[in-house]
Amino acid sequence: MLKNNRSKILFILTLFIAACISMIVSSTIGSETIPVSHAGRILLSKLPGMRNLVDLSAVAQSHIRILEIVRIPRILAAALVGMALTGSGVVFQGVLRNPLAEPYILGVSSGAAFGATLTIVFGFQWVFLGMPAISIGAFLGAIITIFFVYNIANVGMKASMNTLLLSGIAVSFLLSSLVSMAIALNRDQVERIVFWTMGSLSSVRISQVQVVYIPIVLSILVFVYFTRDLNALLLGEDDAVSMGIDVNRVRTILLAVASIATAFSVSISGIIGFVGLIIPHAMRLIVGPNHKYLLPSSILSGAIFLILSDTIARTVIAPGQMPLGVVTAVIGAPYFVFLLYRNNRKSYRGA
Amino acid sequence: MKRVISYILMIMIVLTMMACSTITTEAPDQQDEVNGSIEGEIVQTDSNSETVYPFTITDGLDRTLTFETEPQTIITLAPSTTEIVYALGAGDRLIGRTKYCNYPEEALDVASIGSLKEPDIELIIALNPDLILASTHFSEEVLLKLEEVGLNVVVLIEQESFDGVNTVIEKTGKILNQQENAALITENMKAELNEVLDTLEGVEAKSVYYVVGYGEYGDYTATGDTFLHEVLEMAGGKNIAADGTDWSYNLESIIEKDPEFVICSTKYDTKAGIEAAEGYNQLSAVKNGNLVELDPDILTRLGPRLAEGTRVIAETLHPELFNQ
Amino acid sequence: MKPIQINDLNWAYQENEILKSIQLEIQAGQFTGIVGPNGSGKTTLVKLLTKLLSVEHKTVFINGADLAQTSISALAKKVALVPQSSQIEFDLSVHEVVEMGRTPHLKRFQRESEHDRNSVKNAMLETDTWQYRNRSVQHLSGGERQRVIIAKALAQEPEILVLDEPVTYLDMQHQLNIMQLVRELATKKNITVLMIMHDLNFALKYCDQLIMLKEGQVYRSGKPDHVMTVDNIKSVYEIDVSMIEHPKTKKTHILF
Repeated sequence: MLKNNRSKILFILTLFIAACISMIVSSTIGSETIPVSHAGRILLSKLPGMRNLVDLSAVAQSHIRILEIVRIPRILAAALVGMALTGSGVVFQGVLRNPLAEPYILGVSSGAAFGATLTIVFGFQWVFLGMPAISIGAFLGAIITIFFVYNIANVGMKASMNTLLLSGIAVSFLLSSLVSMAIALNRDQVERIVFWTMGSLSSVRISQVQVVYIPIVLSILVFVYFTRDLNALLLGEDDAVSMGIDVNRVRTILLAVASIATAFSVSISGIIGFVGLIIPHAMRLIVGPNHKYLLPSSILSGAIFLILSDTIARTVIAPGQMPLGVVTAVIGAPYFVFLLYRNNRKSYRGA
Repeated sequence: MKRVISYILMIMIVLTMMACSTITTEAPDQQDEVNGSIEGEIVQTDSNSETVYPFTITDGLDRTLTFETEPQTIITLAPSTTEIVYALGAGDRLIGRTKYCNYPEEALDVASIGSLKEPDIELIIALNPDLILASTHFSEEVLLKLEEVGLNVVVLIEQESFDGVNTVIEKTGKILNQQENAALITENMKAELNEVLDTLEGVEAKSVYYVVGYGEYGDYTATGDTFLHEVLEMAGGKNIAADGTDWSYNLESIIEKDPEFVICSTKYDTKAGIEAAEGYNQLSAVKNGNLVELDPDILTRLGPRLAEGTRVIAETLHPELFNQ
Repeated sequence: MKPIQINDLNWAYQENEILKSIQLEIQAGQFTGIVGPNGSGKTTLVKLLTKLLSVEHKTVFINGADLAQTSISALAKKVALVPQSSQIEFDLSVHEVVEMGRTPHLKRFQRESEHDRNSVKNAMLETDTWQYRNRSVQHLSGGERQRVIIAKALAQEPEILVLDEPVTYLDMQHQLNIMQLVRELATKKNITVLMIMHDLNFALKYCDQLIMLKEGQVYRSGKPDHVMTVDNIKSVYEIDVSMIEHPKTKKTHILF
């Protein structure tokens, strides 16, 4: 772990720069080869006010469109989804005081999958605010599920965290089996349903990014606002109250906001596991559990990780698309095992 | 008589050339009057007609698209559509197809743009086709994305029937200005189908089961609500799974009804698998050597080979009636 | 205005009456001990006083203010609690934990000031935990961790310090140190200290006032010598003891 507070801040700054760089670099990579200088010019022209200052005459029209319509929306969506999932992961782990907690633990993923499945199976076609029907179905499924889970667990005014977890697990099981049943009864839609659950950003459009970016950014600001409260919760409910934290209120707000952020991200990307669980852990190993450093570093590395994963997803088997959830797991899991191993070796030798 | 025809042909060629170069409002109107069709409607036209551009079409999702000129470059997003394009003689215009498009063989030389549901959009943009032809199994998200790019996507979905296939072929022919070929194809298919039906007139149907899927993931077949069921019946078969729905069936019923013929796919070693599969290996059809593997592409693709597929099934079930 | 005024406090959990008609006044700047057998309601009383459980209106008054109307954050500026045990599953450093004691005094995005840093440091020096400041809390023994939690409560600079059996897991040296420290907080810094304790001799030795609870009611309260008598102990704890005079300090000691 980084010992010095100063080195932790430096680490976060480095992550920020890395995030910016990864966005720029990914925009130059894709199944079509676009020269870096052209990509750079296109990106520059997208910045407010820069359009007339950049000379795009040498750049192919199709390349401009590829960047505008295919790559940039994907990269922005990847960044937002990465931030939402890791931020929520940090919050869930802190609020539930459970290092195995992750954004889907209260049933968001099975709710979203169920909503998406219903949309596919019944062939709904509406588009609202530029969001295709399946995104809306997933979002509604997620939100309704969270609502149910909370209400089942909320006996009296206090929701015990354990009851909440159990309620989430039970509802998840139920919804997953309903999804399986829907698949069994609609065999011709299997591919579509299964691929949605594996996660993908392949048809993300900029209008969808515009819809989700405000809720996600606001959610992250809420998390940051509650940094001290999250730290206090780490010591336990009694200690937190004695430090002036209204534990019930804070928990409810944080869980609700984290669930909403997760619901928004699932609606555009499908289910991308692993990110919300493992990245906070990896960051905890590097900067420690103090949320002052843990939140920003997790959110930034979440964005970087997902941008890189999506770049791989859209290039490694081009013209085919690799499901994003598969890429994140295949890359992330071994890296995390490595981190754990290195950390355990260090502490065994005596920190 | 010949003179009149050649005069008419000359006038039509001249008019088409005028329409293709600069667009005036008169020429299309005249043409519409001659053909009796109005912009936007698809009406049966003479087999010798040429498509006049700008040409507007309403596709299977009720979207209307207008083509200013004859599309020269095409990307297809379905194997059936690829087959239709080649059959219409427009195969040289194909610049992209899905990885599942394997017929005719020339299609394999054309660049693949990935799967039907998740095609590589970057590649499609780079290829910049005049026309993208899609069919069923097409996802809404991909359509929105392609529309955003500003490409012309025509989604041809019709009723699952021979009439539906004909409509698709005709519409495609209209868009590509290959109406003559379209008519030829549909007529040939009709002829072939009628020949089969005539040969089977009064002949007793043979009981048959068509394997779509089997084994641990469930038994799937052409149930009574599918078009494939109709094909089987037209080909002189009595589909034992007519009472099933949604492609789903069960092994017990198959064993009980013990069909005379079982048809399966040539792909994925299905035949060997069924011969070894529990329950299936006890069926009379399997024991008597009436487990027949057929190329599923000609049976299930709603394209120009559908009549041929029907004939192949008929030949399998009633070999003595067809010169084999 | 008493720091803590309790008027006819009753509390029940499901069907069990835990506290009955508690009437108490805690004196300012004094070290008050709460003793009694297990199940007599000590911890429940403390939880009610610190808003871990909710009280009814007009039953408990902290510095004259109705506790039921006081918010958790407002209370934390005046009252700090050292709970019976703290489970910390995360790798926080000692310094980070003690620092959290300043939370009630800091606004959301406010940085720690010089004063905050000093409170934290002093708290750690007084509890002999300064040398552990960069170590992870998980690498400390139970006793060391308890001292850290006490340091955190001290860093909170409370007017009222409530402790629930804080020295149970400490070694002798540290038990005595903490008791001495807590006593000095009352005498020198005028902090009102309320402590639940099991060691009756400590209660006699260090406390200014004692409250003895039996079955949810106040059995006796007042000066330690008056409360801690052989008869009272027999009545409440149902054990026989003897009292002797300490040869050096001349103070009363209980022999078991």
